[in-house]
Amino acid sequence: MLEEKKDQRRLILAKLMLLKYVDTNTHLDIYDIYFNQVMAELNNEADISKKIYVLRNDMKKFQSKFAVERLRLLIELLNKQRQFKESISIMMNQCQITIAASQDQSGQQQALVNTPEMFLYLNSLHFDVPVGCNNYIRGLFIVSLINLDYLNEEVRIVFIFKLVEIF
Amino acid sequence: MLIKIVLNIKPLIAYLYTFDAEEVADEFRLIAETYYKRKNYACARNIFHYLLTNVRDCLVQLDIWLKYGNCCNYLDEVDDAINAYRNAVNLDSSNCEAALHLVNMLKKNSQLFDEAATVIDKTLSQKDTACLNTEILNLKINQCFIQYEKNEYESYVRNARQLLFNNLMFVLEPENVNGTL
Repeated sequence: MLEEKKDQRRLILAKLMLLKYVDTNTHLDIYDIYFNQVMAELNNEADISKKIYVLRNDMKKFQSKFAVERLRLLIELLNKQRQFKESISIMMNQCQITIAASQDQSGQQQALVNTPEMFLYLNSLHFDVPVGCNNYIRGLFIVSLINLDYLNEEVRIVFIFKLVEIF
Repeated sequence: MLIKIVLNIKPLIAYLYTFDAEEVADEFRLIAETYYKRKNYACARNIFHYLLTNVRDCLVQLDIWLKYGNCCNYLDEVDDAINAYRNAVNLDSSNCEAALHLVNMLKKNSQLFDEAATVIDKTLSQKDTACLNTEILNLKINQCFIQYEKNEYESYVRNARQLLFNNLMFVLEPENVNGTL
């Protein structure tokens, strides 16, 4: 009906609702059709937030089975909107990226997890990205960290290239 | 040996070096562009250099040569910057941005004036002079500057007059001229 009336705004909203409430266990085909439709229709710069909403919803629905290419798109959109902290948290959850134990100012070992507080002392953290993690996601993870002024990587890159020159 | 050392110090990017560079070129480019945008030219230069020396496709990408050249320029690595801009111009001699960058470097050394003049002539000859943009105008201003420095007064007067008569408003803006010269 909305399609006939060419009421595009409400049509998109209706599709977003459908994507949110459809049961993917029983109606995966319907979900996929509307997912692809909505992603193709949301082309404007102003639609980025809606695209992020759709992808976040997709991530919630599929959790560990969230497709890599959709994770990649979600992270790229979040980075475009400069939401680097959220993109880091999402990548850590989805790709099992962990934080290696670090020392606090008094020299005590701290056990750290993926929490908003970790961004307060980001530069004292070292991240372990699993070997099986998609390389492009690894690249996006590094990009998000760089954008949050994570210095550890820089220091090491300089060190690596010194080694490259030596060998 | 290198891979072993790199893995021992474990930066996140190190893992990418364990792959064939062609395979992870997109990832390296993504990281290099991020450093470049954030004006961390030392890191960006290193990664662009790695791409240019290890990934064949990158050798024919003007954008990468230009950014690598800009990084070298910001880091005062003049010879590397000139070579990078030369490669960019060789890839597309009609590209005004590449030509302007190269000319701006070459004109710092009076021994390279001839090369700068050749680059400008070659680029301008491929452009429709009716469709002027800032880069073409800057090239024309540089052309006048070099002709003046080389004592080629006849050409200088002809080109400077043309520039002044046709684009007076642009030339009158001090920042346009000072930025170029």
